[in-house]
Order: sequence, then structure tokens, then C-alpha cells
Amino acid sequence: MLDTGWRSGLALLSLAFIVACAGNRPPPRPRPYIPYISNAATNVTVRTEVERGVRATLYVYSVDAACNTEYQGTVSLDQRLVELSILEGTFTYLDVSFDTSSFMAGSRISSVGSLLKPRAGGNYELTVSYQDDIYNFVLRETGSRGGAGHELPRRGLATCGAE
Amino acid sequence: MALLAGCGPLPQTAQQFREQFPGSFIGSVQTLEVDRPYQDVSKTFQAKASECLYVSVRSDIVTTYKPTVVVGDKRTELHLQRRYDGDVINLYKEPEGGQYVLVADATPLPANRTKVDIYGLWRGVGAVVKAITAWANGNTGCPDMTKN
Repeated sequence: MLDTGWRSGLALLSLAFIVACAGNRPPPRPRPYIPYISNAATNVTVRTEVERGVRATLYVYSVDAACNTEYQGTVSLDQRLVELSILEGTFTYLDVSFDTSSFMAGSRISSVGSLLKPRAGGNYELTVSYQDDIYNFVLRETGSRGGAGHELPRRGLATCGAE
Repeated sequence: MALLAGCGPLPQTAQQFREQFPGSFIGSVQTLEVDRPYQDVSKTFQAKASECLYVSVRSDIVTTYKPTVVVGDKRTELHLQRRYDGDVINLYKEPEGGQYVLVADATPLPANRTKVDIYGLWRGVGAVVKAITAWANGNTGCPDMTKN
């Protein structure tokens, strides 16, 4: 009896691992995806370096005073350098997903993001990388004359009310 | 529904978790020594644990990770707990915040070096171990928690 119970338990445990290892559903995304387009001057440069088999994508959301998001569009980060323009003076949420899905491993998507409120005339650089199960998401305000600038702390959506 | 069992009562504290390891088959202890001052390693652990390890991973169940960093003059401890939500039954009492899955201890060494001991389960913390090793060496990436 005890032996049967253990076997049942182990069978269910195995099932749990298989399910957990099958990967994650991606966070809710608008469909269909639309390309992010803005006609304003470029103020954000995205530098991307990911290992083979990883697809990085940037989702852009505008954020209102109540921290509600509105999807603005998607940018595929399949180029090492992408330039885009983000509206000055209001919060935008930049959400990068790393898709490492494969036939064997199933669907695996990790997301990381930050609020950004560009200053008038400000320039920003987002560095995105993924290597050996480790990712980086570093947002910097760059100097006006090619200076190093400074790194901006990552800000979650819930902090949109704080300046 | 999933049934989560183990080979005995779950450790209720980080210290109990550490004490399971000598001669244990639940995981391994990895030790590294790095050429960085203890205070720097400690600061990196504090910053990166909160930034990178408060993560929920969704599959058919939701896995929630909870990091805790305890800072002292002679040791900085990083604890990581994991909790499953959904159709999951735990046979043993889980500590508040979830089962301990990893503990990393940073301690100072002479000549501005630091020793880091990482106690981790065999399964489920692979990416975190890589990240902690990177943090100890001054790199600041976050682990992809879907790869644990």
C-alpha cells in the first residue's frame, strides 16, 4: 500500500516537472503585432547582442498617470543597432522579451522592462544582451556631447506615479 | 494537479537548508574565491537579488521566487525560496515564502578577496547559480528563470 502510494506520488511529481519544464506562456501581448512607428526625432538607440537561438523583441507601451498601458507597437531586435523615437515628457514602458523557445524545450519567454520618461532633447541608449541563460537590460541617458552619461535605474510600471 | 513530495521534512530555515548538504544527494555545494572585496560582492548581491530574483514563472502552475539578503560584517547571505501556486499539493509544511532552493554565503578573505559558497538543489536553480557566480565576479546580468 505504501509502495503504491509512493509510486503514485512519484508519477505525479514527474508530471509536475515535465509541465514546469515545458516553459512559460508569454505574457499577454496585443495581437496582431504592429510595428512601432514614430515620426519624431530619434532619441533612443537600442544595442542588442544575443546568442544564437534567442529572439529579442521590444514592445513599446505608453503609460498614463494611473499607470495604465496602451500598446504602441513592436520592434524586432534582430539587428545589432536599432534607433527609435520615444515621446518626450511622458512615461513609456519599454518591455523586452527573450524568446528561447525550441522544439525540445517548448515555449520559454522571459520579459524585462522599465519605464522611461525622456527629457526634452535627451538621448538614451538601451543595451540588451542574452548569453548562457543570463540577460542584461541596461538603460542609460547618454551625454549630450558623446559623454558616457549615466545608467538609469530600472523602474517598474507601478512607479509611474513617482517622478 | 501536481503532488510535490520530498524525502523528509522541508528545511524551515536557511541554516537547516545548509545542514542538509554534507553527504546529501539533494544538491551540491559550489565554492569560489574571487578577486573582489567582500563589501563589493555584498553590495552586488543586495542590488541584484532584488532586481533579478523577484520573479514569477508561469506554466500550468505559477512558480514564485522570493530572495532574501542578510548582510553582516563577516557574511552576506542570499537565500532563495520558491513557491508553487495552482493545483499543487505539498506533502510537507513549507516555510513562509516557499521552499528553500538555494543559499549563497559570501565571506571576506585576506587581500581583498571573497569566498562564496553556493548551496543549491540539483534541479531548478541552474541559471541562478550561473548568475550568482557572475555577480561575485562583478558582472550584473540577471538569470533567465525559465532556464532553471
